Amino acid sequence: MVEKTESLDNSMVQKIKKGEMCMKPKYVFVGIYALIITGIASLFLISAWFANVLFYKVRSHNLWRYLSFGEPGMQAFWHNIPFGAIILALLIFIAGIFWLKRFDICYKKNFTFITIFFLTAVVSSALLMDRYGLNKTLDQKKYLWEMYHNQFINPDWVIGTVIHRDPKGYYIRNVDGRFFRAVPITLNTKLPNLNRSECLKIKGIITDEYTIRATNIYKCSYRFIP
Amino acid sequence: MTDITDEQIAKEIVNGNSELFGELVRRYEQKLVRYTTYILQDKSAAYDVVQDTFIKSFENLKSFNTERKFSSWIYRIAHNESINRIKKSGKEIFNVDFDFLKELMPPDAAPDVEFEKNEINEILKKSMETLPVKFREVLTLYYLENKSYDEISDILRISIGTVGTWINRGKAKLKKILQELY
Repeated sequence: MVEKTESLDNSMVQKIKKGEMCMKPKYVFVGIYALIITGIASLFLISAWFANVLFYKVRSHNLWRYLSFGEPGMQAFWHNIPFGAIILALLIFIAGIFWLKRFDICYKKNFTFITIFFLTAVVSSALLMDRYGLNKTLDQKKYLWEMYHNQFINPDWVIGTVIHRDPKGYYIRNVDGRFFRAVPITLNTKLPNLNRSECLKIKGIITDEYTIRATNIYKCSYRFIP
Repeated sequence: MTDITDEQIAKEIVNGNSELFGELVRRYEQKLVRYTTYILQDKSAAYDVVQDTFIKSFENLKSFNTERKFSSWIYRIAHNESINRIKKSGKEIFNVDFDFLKELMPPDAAPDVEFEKNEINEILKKSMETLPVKFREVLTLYYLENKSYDEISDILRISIGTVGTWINRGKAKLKKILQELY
């Protein structure tokens, strides 16, 4: 504690002279500022990319068409909505807004206005990303397959509704209208007792265009949880 | 020296004339001690905070934009240091003079006889105890430090609209507390 306030100015000058107090170089502040701005911009861009995945799926898979399939179509619709991408887009957007507030950027403006402005910017960027074909290259990447593609057929599983059952397996049709014959890969593979129109997920090896040798067959719940 | 602005002095210091920092300390020491005392309500803690404020302001002087007001910048540092001190200690001590708040007293608070100065101070102390720091701070900056809404906005990093809202709410709360007490 400083006992005599009158001498504070002198004590400060003395500290400066002795080198106990030093000014930080300007590049430190420039660097920190650049990092903050880059971080915030990156958060909004990543958020826009996840939102773009939603727009891409709705547009390219024509998700509204699924609804005309009745109950299975409804399930397909919900199953194909990329909830993970939506949640991540929202969380990252909130993180961006939090950073804006945390680092006192735009404090002069109304916070609701700022939030609406950035939300509009993120949605517009997402639409532009989708419009200008960013997804065309990305949806070919294997690690993005789950996020980009119709999730009713995968290299090792198929989801569809039962149209016929015989002692050897099931005949199913997926939402895209493709037919598959699912046969157990071994005699031990259990076949659940499913009726016509019920949904199931078959995990196994797709051997040709319409046959899948099933290692597991599950009855799907409403949400088709894989 | 008095005709040189704070911003010009800051520029000179950055350019190498470090001894001029003493002038800035002289100009702001009392103001900042008064301001931080009202926030912390502990004079000795306020002195410590003011010392830290000057050290931080010198260390970070190269980040100061001389196009903006130096007073808002240094008050901002003092505000941050005070808030950090409150968070650290987790409690607030009251040991200050609240004379400046007399004008906020409702007219019927003192019935016929004039309150003694100490008595009024006591009432105001008790009333202020219940006010959140944010309201105490805007009231101090506006009424005691004579800062404009724009400057308060820069110091507290809130919008100008919020400054007005907090001042009005702070006044209303204080009046309500005083009315409940008397």
